[in-house]
Amino acid sequence: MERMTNPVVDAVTTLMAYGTESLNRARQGMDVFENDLNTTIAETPFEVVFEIDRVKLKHYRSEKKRQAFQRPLLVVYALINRETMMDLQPGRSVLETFLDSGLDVYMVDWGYPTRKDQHVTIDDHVNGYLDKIVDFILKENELATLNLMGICMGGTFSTMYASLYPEKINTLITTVTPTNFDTSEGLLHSWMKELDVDKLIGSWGNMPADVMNLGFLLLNPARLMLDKYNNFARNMGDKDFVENFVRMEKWIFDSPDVPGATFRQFIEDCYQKNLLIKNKMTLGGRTVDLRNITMPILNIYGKKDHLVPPEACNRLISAVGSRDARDLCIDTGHIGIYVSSKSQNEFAPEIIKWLADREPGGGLSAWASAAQEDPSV
Amino acid sequence: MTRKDQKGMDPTQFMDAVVKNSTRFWEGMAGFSWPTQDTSGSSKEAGTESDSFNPWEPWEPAMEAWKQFQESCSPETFADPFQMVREEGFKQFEKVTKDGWDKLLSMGEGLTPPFSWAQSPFSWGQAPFGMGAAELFGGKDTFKEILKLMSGEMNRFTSIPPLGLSRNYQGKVVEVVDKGNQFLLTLGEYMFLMFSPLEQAMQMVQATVKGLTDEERQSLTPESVYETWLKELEQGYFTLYGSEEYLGILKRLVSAMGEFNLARQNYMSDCLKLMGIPSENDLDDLYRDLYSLKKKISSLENVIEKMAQSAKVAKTAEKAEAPVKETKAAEKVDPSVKEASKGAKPAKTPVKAAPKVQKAATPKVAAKSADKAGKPQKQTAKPAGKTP
Repeated sequence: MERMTNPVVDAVTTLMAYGTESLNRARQGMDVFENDLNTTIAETPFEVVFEIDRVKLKHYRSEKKRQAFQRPLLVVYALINRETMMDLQPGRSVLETFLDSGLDVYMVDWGYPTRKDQHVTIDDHVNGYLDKIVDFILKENELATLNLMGICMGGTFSTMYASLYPEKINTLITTVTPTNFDTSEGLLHSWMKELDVDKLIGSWGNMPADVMNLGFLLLNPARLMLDKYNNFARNMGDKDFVENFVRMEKWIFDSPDVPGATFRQFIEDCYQKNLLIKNKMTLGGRTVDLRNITMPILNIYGKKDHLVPPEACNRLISAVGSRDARDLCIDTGHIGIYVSSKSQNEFAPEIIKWLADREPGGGLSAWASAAQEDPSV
Repeated sequence: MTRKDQKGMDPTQFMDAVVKNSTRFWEGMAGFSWPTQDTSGSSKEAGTESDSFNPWEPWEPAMEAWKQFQESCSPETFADPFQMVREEGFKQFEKVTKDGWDKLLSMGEGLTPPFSWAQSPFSWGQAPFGMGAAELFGGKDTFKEILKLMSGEMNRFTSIPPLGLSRNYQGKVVEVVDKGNQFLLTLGEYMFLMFSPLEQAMQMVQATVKGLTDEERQSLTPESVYETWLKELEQGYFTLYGSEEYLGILKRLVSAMGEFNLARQNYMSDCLKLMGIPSENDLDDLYRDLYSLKKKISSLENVIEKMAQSAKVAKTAEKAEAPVKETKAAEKVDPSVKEASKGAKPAKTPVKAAPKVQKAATPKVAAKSADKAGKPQKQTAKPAGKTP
């Protein structure tokens, strides 16, 4: 005989089961939290070799006896969030992969702009800070050119720089870099077009990081504000999960403000007028003409990127003057391209291979053959 | 006797009665004829001088003025400045609370066991627990109505021109209040819009569950329902973000926030000024000056750098040529150097700064090959570039 069901009893039973399960999870979570969690990010050792105002240049030296690459790689990160994302944790670090391949890396740390920096423009970043940094590296390494890699907004700056100073750049790598802003694909692009920048930064001076972060969260509140933390609650008992989660949280909410004048120019000239791809943008009285980019260029972007959609990235290659220009679309998102395990096997190794192919004397293959002869290399 | 009579009159009626009675009293006083000075009691003939004597006559203009004042104070003529706010505001408040209360009560009806909204065929397609955000807050037009009310009625007070010695300060306080109200109401409207996908997602999940067979419904787990709801929610937000309505409110919200911040900052500046503390506005002026000074120094540094390089070139040229031609060589200096030196002269920049900057930032002038530059000069200390 079938048992008669009582909805109230069912409900109480379900509630009790969930309550017990939640309590168990919470207990396990507390056990995990009580232990020492390793949530340190950016552990790879570096040396600050150059400082100018708030900007620092970090040098990550490859410990390989013989470097496969003659020229170092300068990584220019965005002004939004921090460059620590490139080195989130051992085993999931783009930097680590670069260094292991014998590539010397310099990375720009833009610092934390204060109200004092509100008048600093894109021109100051590109023609000022970036140019001085490049000159310093070239002088220190006794080189005439270097490899330049830009990330997101930093990629846009790098593109501008490569166009204005092509003689100093050996190769250009742009990753998730917006260059075509006239697209309705990304929500950010639609929102930015409607933004009254003057009213937004008029009283704050700079663009506050918290406001930007709130904006990023609002892009997908269901996933980023609800499901993410629900998932955390479900996995509180897993130490590795908790450590990785906290590392990511540390990085996401470690955001500097963006200098007001730079933000204003970026929104007005790029998002609203789309001047860069039209070769109409001017910096310090000079026009940024993408046709001046004649060095080899590799343009990498994410297929599922909701912040900088593929449409915002994939027009660059046809706009530059280089004959050695290539697009690489990876099936991942804006951040996943640097931190996901899948990308670790695709993104950084692809860059290394591409750079090695453009090194005089074979680069990586020469280094690999040398390594075969002497394993300590 | 009614309850009203026992407890007292209605305040408006009471006020009305007071004003009317007092007006009547003063009317009577104004028209009151005082008896003559003569105490004999004999009647006077009409038309005599003593007949027209009235000791209150000088008071008549004053009485008349009082009468007019009283009349202007009567409830009929003295419009309540807050009438609209009271009436309309109360109407909106009543709407919100009534809807909220009704829905709260109806929660009991829908609040059968957990997920009963998914199981019970009677509640399918309805808002979960009988509660819908749109109904709960009286609809999205509520915020528009309140905003209209505030901007219409409150503006009557906030637009009163500030007067006197402290008029500037009064103006700023009023501005903060006004902009603050506008910001909060726009924020309310925005938040309301942001909650609507939550409700829609619930309804969509209900509809999905309704479409399932009994067997499928039995196999439902809270996790699968949650996943469906989350997907619907995600989709709901994407749809919302693409709408013109959302973009319009977002734009208004950003503007309102910016205006409120600016008004607040101006007000704070006044307060800080009173205490002799520099405000953000003062510091902003300094930052601007500092920035332009740094830019000037940077351009001068570049000029000096160019000069130094050209001088180096000139020196090399001098060495190569015969000493007799020394003067001619000096004349053959690059025109850009002359230009640079012209620019540098009036500024009188200390020349000491040049080598330091050059060390930090000068690119290689001549490289031996494409990769290796001329003289190896290892950089040991941190170069101190000071300007962007």
